[in-house]
Amino acid sequence: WICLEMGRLFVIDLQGETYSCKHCHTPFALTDDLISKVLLLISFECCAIPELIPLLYLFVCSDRWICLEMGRLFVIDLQGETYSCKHCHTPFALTDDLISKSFHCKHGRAYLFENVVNVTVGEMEHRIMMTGWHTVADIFCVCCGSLVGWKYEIAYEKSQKYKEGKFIIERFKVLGPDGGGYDMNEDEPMIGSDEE
Amino acid sequence: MGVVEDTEPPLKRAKRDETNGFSGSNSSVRVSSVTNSLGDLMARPLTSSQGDDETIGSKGVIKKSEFVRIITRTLYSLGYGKAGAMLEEESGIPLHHSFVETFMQQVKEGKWDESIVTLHRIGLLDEKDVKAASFLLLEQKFLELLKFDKIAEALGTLRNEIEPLRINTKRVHELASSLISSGPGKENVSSRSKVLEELQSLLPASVIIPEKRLESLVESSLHIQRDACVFHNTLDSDLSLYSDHQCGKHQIPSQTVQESGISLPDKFTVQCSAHVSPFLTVLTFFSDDLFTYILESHTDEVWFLQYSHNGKYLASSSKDQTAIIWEINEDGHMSLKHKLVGHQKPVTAVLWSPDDSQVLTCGAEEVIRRWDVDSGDCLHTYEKGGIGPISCGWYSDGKGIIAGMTDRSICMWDLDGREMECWKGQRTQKVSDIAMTDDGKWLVSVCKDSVISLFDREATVERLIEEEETITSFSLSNDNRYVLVNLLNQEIRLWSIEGDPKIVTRYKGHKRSRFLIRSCFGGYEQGFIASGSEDSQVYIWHRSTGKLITELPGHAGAVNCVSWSPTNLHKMASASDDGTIRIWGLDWINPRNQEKQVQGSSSNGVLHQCNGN
Repeated sequence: WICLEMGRLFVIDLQGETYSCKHCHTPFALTDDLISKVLLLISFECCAIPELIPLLYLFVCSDRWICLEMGRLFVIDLQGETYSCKHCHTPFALTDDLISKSFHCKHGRAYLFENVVNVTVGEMEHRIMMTGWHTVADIFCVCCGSLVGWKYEIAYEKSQKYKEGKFIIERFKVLGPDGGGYDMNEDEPMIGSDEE
Repeated sequence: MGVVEDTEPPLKRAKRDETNGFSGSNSSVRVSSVTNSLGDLMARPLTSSQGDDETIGSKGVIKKSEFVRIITRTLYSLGYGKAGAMLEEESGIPLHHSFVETFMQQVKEGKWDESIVTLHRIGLLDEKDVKAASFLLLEQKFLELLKFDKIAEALGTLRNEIEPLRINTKRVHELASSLISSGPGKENVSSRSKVLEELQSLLPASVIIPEKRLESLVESSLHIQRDACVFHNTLDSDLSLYSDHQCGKHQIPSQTVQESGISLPDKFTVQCSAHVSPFLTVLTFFSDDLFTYILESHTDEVWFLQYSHNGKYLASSSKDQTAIIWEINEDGHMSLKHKLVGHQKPVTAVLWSPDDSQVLTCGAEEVIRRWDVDSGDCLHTYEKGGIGPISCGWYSDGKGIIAGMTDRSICMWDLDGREMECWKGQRTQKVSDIAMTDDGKWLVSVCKDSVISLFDREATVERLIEEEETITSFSLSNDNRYVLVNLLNQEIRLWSIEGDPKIVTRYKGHKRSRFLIRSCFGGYEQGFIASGSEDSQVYIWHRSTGKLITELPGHAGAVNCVSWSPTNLHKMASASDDGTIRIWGLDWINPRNQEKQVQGSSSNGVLHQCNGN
C-alpha cells in the first residue's frame, strides 16, 4: 500500500490488478514496483512504452479506482510554429525559442528551448549527464501527464551554466511544426552529442 | 464614604474661595458634611480642578476628575438623576462648576438677562465665545418676545442688546426683517433645550461637558478593536464591551456543516435530536430526503459556482454539461431547484443577472445560454458561426451579454441575440475571463498573457494591469475598486484600480500547476480572500495583511472555485473535481478545539454521531 493523507487517501493494490478510469475506461496497468514517491508508472493504451505520471495528476474516483485528473485545464495558446505533445497535441514551445538540436537522451535526440509552456515541473533531482552533474526537474504535459523532458535548474560546471533555466524536450515525445513524429532508429547517428 | 484624600484639598480651597461670593455657602466644611450641596463647597475657579494631578488607570493618562465628571454626565443623560447627584456628592467632584449649573438652569427657565450675567462670570471663556453665546441667548430672547407679540420689547432687545455685540450682522438683519414682516411664527422659535445644546457646542468642553462624551469614547475604542481584529467576521451588533473584541478563527467558515436546528426525519429524531445540533460536522446521510452539506448532484467535475447577489441561491456548473440552481431556505437548508440541461459541452461558468432573475451559462467553446431562474427554462441561446465562447458576462444593467470568443474577439449581444458590437484584434490569447463592473464603468478582460485591460466605457480609454506572469483568471470586488488576479505561478495578487492600477497585496500558499483555479472576496466587508487549490484544499487569507489564515481539507480532488455568501458572513461554498460541492460554515462544537475538529471531519466517510450512539 502507498497512501497520502487526508482526503487524498487512496490505496493501490500493487499485485498487478488492472484499474480502469471511471470516466474514460482507458485501462491503466500499474507496475509492481514503485519508481519513486512522486511518480507512478502507467501504461497508456495508445503506446507500449510506459509513461511516468506525477502523483499530482492522479486522484481517487472512489475507494478503489484511480484516474488521471483532468479538471478545467488552463492551456496557453502558442501562435506560430510549435512543437506539441504527441498524445494530446498540447503546444509546448515555439520554433523561435529553439536554441540547440544537438542534445541527446535515451530516446534519441533532444532539443534545448529558451522557454516552454503548458508543462508542470516536477521535483528537483541531482543527475549526472555526460557534461557533468546538474540539478534538473522533469517536466510533464499539463494535459495528459506524459513526461516531455526536463528543465535545468543548476549546472555545476562553468561551461554548462548557460543551460540554467532552460528546457530540454525529448524529440520522441513531441510532434514537430509540420506535425511529424520522430523515430530514433531512422535518425542519423549523432556525432558529439551533448547530453545523456 | 468617599476617600479621605478627595475631600481634603477642597477643604483648603473652600476657605480660600469663600470670598467669591457664594450665597448660602455653608462654611462648615467638615468632611462629614454630606448634607451640604457640595457645589458650594467645591467653589473654586475652574482653572484648578481638584485632583488635577491625580490619575487613574494603569497608564496614568486618565485624569480622575475628568473621568468622574464624564461618568456623572452619562448618569444624568441616562436619566439617573439621583445617582448622578449622589456621585457628585460622594466623589466631591461636581459635574459642572456652580456657575455653569446656574447658567444652565437660567437658560432652561428663560431668564435671559440673568444668564448673560452668569455667562460673564464663568471663567475660561474667551471674548469670542462669550459674544457668540450671548448672541444666541439674546436671539432666543428676541424670538420668544416676538412669539408673544411683545414687539416693543423685542425691538428694544434687538437695538440695545443684540446689535451692540457687532457680530453676525446678517442674522441681525434677518431678525429685524422678521419684526417688520408680521405674521406670528414666521421665525420658528427653537425650544430652550435646543438652545442649550447649541450653547454646549459653542462653549469649551471643559466648561460644559458634552453630552454623550463617554458613549463616543467607548465607540471609538470599539472601532479600534474591530479594525485590529484579524479574523473580524461578525456584524457590529456582536461587539461587546465586556472584553476586547477578538474574533477567533472560529468566525471563519471552517467546517462542512449544517445549521443547528435542522429538522431531521422522524427515524432520527428520537435518538439524535438532543445530540445532533451542537455536534454536526461532516455528514453523509443515508436517505434521499435528508439534506446534506456535501452536494453531490453533479455527475462529473464541478468547475464553477456562485451565490446569487441576494444570497438566496447558489448556482453551480459542471463538466457533466449541466448547471444547477440550488435554493437556500431561511434555516440554511439547500435544495435543488433546477437542473439546467441543454449544453453539449462542459459548462465553464454560470453567472447571475444583476437582479438575480436569470443566469447565463457558458458552454466551453460552444454556445451561451440564458435561463429563467424561477421556471428553469432556457430563454435564449447566443452563438456565432464557427467560433465559441471562452468566457462571458452580463452587462451591468442586465440588458446585454458580453463574451470572449475563441477567435480572440469580444462580442456583445442584446438580450434578443442581436449583435451590438464585436471587438477584434490586439489580443494574443483567447479571452479567458471577462466582466463588466456593476456600475457599468469598466469592461475588464484578459487581453494578453499577462495583461488585463480595463476599458472605461464612458471615456473610451483603456488602462492596463501589467503583470509579470501569465494571468489565469480574475475577480472583481463588490465596490468595483479592486481586482483579484490569479497567476500561473501560484500567486494571487490584489490590484487597486482607482486611478493608476497598483498592486496592493499578494497571497501565496495554494497550489496551481495545471488547472484554472478561481478565487474570491468574502466575509465582513470583503475582508478575506478565499481560493481553491490543486491540493484539494480551500485556502483563506486575511485580505489586508496577506496572511494565510486557514487551509480547509475535505475535498478529494482539486478545488476549482469558491464563492462566499454575500449575505451570510459565515457561509462559503467550494466546487471540486471530485464532483461535489461543499458548504463550509462555523464550527459550532467547540471553537477552541477547532483544530481537532478539522482533523476529524476531513475524511469522506460517515460520521457516526448521527446514529444515536
